[in-house]
Amino acid sequence: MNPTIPENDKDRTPEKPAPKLPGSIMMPEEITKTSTNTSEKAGEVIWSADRQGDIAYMDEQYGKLLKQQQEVQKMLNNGEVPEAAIDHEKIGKKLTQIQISQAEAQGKLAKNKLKAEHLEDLEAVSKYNQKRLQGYTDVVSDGSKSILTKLGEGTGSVISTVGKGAGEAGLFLGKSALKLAGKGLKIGAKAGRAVIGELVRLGYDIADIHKEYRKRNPKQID
Amino acid sequence: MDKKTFLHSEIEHVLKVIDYISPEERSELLSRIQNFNAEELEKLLKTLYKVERRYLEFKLNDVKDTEKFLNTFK
Repeated sequence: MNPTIPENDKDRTPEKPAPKLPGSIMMPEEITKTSTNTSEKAGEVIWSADRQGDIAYMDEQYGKLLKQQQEVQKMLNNGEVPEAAIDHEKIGKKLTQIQISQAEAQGKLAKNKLKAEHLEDLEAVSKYNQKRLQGYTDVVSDGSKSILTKLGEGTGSVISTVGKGAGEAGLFLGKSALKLAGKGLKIGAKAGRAVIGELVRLGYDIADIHKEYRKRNPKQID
Repeated sequence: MDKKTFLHSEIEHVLKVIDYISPEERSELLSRIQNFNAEELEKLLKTLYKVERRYLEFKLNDVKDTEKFLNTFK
């Protein structure tokens, strides 16, 4: 059986041939060398124009991973066994690093917009985050199902635990709502709740948000 | 390296990348496949490769989409 690579993955294939197996995706020193175009100082993320470099680098690494996957599957199909497993972890870690930086930069953006009194932009950020969350939940849910189907019968308990991943992803936005609930704040509008939740997540003081939001939406907050 | 050892090792690596599976869940999943034969392990690995691709593809696209989204504010 030949490996099926999604059509859009082909665009990611790097020009350089993938290293022969056994081989790692990237060496630890490569991570150090290439990271990072975003940097943190005292909790603040510096958003760099060179960020495109990070993204291009990840495209290349992802392409290498696909090549190595194909190589392993080809060898297995031919009855051969690669000499060593691929080290998939490094590419995953690098992607996560970039994502975290992005989330923090997004927070910085939201703060700036609050100062500029552009609350509607914060709503857009919140809506975008919810869309991201939905996408992530779909990936987790479909992936868990695929894995568990292959494991066959008697995996009910694993289904319930693996499925937790999707639920935990909800905490990305949900924690802020819980904080609000803990403060006894009642908000009538769903959009308003999402915006305030976003602000709490970014570390704003609930009393300040309450005051500001009451000023803007007097009928929506008790 | 014999085939089963390779497949177990590769499966473990892929499960580590799919980081919505916690270390505890990963251990449980790995213990459940201890008695799988090579053919079953190979099928599982191929499935995991697809899951891994979709997961990493999601992350990559998320980074790119968020970059575009942020640029709409500039």
